[in-house]
Amino acid sequence: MSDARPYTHAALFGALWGAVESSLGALIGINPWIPSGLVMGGVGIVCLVTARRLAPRGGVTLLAGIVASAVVSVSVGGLRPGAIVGIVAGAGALELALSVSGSRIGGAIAGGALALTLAALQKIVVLAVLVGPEAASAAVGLLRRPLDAIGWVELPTAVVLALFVAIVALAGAATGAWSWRIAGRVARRVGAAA
Amino acid sequence: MSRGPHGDTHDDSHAGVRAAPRAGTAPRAVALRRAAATVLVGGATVAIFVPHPVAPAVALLSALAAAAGIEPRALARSGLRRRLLLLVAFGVVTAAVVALGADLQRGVAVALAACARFATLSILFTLLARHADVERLVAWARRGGVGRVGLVFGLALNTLPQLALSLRESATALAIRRRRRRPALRDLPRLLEVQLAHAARIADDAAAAAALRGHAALARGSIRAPQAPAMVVVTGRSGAGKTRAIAGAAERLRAGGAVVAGILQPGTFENDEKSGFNVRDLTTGDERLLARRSSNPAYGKRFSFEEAAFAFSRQVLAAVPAGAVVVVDELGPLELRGAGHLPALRRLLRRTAPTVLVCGVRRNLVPAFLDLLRPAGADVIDVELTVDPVTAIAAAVGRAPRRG
Repeated sequence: MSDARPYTHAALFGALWGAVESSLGALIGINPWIPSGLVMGGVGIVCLVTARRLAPRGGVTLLAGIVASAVVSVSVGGLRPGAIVGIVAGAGALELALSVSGSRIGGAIAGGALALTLAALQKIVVLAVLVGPEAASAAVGLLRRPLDAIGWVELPTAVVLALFVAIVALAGAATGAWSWRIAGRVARRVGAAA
Repeated sequence: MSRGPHGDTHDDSHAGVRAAPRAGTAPRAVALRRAAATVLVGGATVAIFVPHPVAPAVALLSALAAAAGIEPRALARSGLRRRLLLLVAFGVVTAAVVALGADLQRGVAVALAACARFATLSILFTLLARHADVERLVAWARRGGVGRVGLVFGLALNTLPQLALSLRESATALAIRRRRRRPALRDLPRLLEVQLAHAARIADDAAAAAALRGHAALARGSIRAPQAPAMVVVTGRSGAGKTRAIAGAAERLRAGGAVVAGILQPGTFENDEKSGFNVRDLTTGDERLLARRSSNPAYGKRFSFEEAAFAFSRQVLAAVPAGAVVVVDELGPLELRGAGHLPALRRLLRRTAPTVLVCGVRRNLVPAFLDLLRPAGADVIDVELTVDPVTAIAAAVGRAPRRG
């Protein structure tokens, strides 16, 4: 293995994310009240951060994301462009952040924030591409509803989107930090040591 | 029809822009047509993303023009006719949904735009599938080392049933422990942790199996020594007595007149617990503190290492005389990542010609190190399965093939 582990870890953790995405993801995707993109994005962050922490080599995170997207595309659910775009974009963001930070917790936090933001925005982008800008406007309109409910009416679209991105990024950062902790516990569980 | 290099036949009309221009067609005109079609494909791709009411129509027209320029039959082969019913249904549903929220005119406009985008994407994907030079892409991929990605996909698909099984077993075990029918929602993080650990173990096993079976495609290049030495691998669990056995064998070999040099890594203990380990020069007996148990353990940080000790071990290995039996007590994950004692060992193997290399290696890493070091021959001695490991190691060194 001089050293096959980065490849095998990318394969296994990518397969795990892909399997969860095409089973649980497809299931909760039906329910309009569950933000499936965010939930699945969170699961993905945990898988990818763990893979990177156990096999700290550049490219492991992105490769695991590509494997996950391949598993999703060959699953019974069939080709789901939104999920595939979200997975690859999220994995790319995490790869970038972890590579820049040298596989440290800061990278996991920044990467988590970036990945979850992309996962949330990809639905709007895919809607805009496949159906048109009107669908994207409708999605932004949905985001306005909770703000209207608390009295923040008539906010500009840019502000609504910025608020949404900020909240999602915060959740992503928290998921990144939690994933780093989980990855550490997993490493101790499997007895990985220097 | 024409005949391929392997005797197979194929329809030239399917070969598209990769086929040689037909007789009578000026190559310059073909090149110009291809360039124009490429620009149109690019324009159509960009127009899909432009948020303007006319953009979908422009994208569709560009895609149609590109298809006409490259291969008019692509329109028929894009499957639009077969998908026409689906496209109409998609348009009607979109129009109805938007009409409910706004008005019918708006709904029709949005539906037409959506159908135009769908048709554009179908044509573009057909052109891409039929005219991308796959052989060239594969050649680029091979040059970039992406060929390994195929093996990774294979591994991922093959391990899916194992992952599913381990998930079911973990869930059942957790439910039994919690005395419930199925794990509660609050147990999910725990279940995730267990599942991730399962995945990590399978990945480690797969890596070891890949190394054992010589899957070089999944591995970095091994150490290229001018002449690979024979190797005696001393293995066993942590604390099983590998270091003690190697030290005893070194003493016995020295007593027999052999030149033995290298490093040992005896453990250090506090309150009967292993607190770290030292690195010892086998020739002089000098020791340095190499690692101590970390107070805040994390992956790769269960022990914190002293860089000065690695500098010391580098000096020791650099001073090993040619023809000596070389001892490197512990080769572990750090060395597999190219760090630790590996750079010094690599230099030693390139510089001198040790007769035999005696290494202490954990059981699960033995295949990996055999693959990395590619010895001329190897004896693996498990100290837990051998009655007298000292004698076994000394005997293995004695019968190792000597180079002339």
